[in-house]
Amino acid sequence: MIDQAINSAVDFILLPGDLYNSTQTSPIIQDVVSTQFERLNTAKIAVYLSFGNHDFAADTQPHLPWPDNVHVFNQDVHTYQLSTQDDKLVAITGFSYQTQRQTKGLAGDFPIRDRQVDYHIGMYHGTVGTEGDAYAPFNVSDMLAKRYDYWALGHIHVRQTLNQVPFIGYSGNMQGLNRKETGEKGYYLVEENNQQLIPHFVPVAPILWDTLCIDEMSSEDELIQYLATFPREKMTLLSVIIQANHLPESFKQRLYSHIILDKLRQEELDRIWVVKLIYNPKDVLSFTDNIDQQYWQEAFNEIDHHFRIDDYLSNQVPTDIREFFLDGVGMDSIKIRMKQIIEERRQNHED
Amino acid sequence: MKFIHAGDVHLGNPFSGLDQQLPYELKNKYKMPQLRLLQP
Repeated sequence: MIDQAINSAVDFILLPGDLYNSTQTSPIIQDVVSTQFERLNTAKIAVYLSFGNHDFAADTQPHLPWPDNVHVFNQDVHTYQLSTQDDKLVAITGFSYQTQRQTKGLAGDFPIRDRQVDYHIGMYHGTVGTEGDAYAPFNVSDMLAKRYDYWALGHIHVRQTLNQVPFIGYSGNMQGLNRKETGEKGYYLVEENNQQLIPHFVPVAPILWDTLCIDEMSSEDELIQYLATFPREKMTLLSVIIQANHLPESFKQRLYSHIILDKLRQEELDRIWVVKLIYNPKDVLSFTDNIDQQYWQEAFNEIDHHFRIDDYLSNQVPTDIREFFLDGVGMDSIKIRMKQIIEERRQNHED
Repeated sequence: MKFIHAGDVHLGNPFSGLDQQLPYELKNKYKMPQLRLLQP
């Protein structure tokens, strides 16, 4: 992105929150950021930086000094102004999180569009919601009322448009971080056209996440062959879900014990790394109508709708482990394994 | 006038621990793809 910013001679870069994954950053990351921001400084490209719920108050931690081109928003809504290469006057308004949760919506604190500038842009890290929600809740109508020309949103990792003109939307993240964040990821290159600011998506993620569902499969060799011929343009972290209703028992046992997963990884498939191999037969829940099956069904429902891992984690569990099991990936892996165990017991019971 | 809008870069995210599963060759190449994005 930095290379392309310099090559395209953009006027500025907006980073609306969560540049860093956490408030405390490593010296290596700081060095990379500092070096790249300095490159932008040399190229006379300004950076407007706000912190979100992941990197809240990051500038209060020890870090390398920001180059002169970097403008950091603090907790109060503030407006910077700049002149572009083609002499357009631009106002940029934003704020930073000071705590992990920002339950007060701040859209109302943004000033009405400055009529003295050519373009007024809002930077906002948060989600649509109501007062009291965790991430600076806002309404699109509140933003529209400010009459800005563009709202650069952050927080949601899925690229999405909340309003077309003026644009209010999320660029999404630049690299999928887990198996639920599938598809191309990147940033928006925004250009003016007839006095409108139009975003164009630029994909840059070097790694894609994807999920492959396979309906019919009868052997390990067939599975390996299938994946070997699966076309990939980029390195892909792949979750494979086998949905076949009938698999040889030995195949199932080798699936559950991760033997087949290890084998797939050893195959060194071109540009594919199998992250997960899940057996989830389509008809697993289509039990016959008797009292035993109702109990099995209830067990599955309990996992799907009521199970909360945090009910079982003691206070002594380290934060990083707690966070892993509370987020989508960790939670899913537990639920899938619980269902596998119940399914195995159900089948043993029927046998 | 043109500018870049880049949200949620998440520098330093280790793929939720996934990097510990990746083979050395992949880890060496892709351990922190967000960093790789920024490298000249």
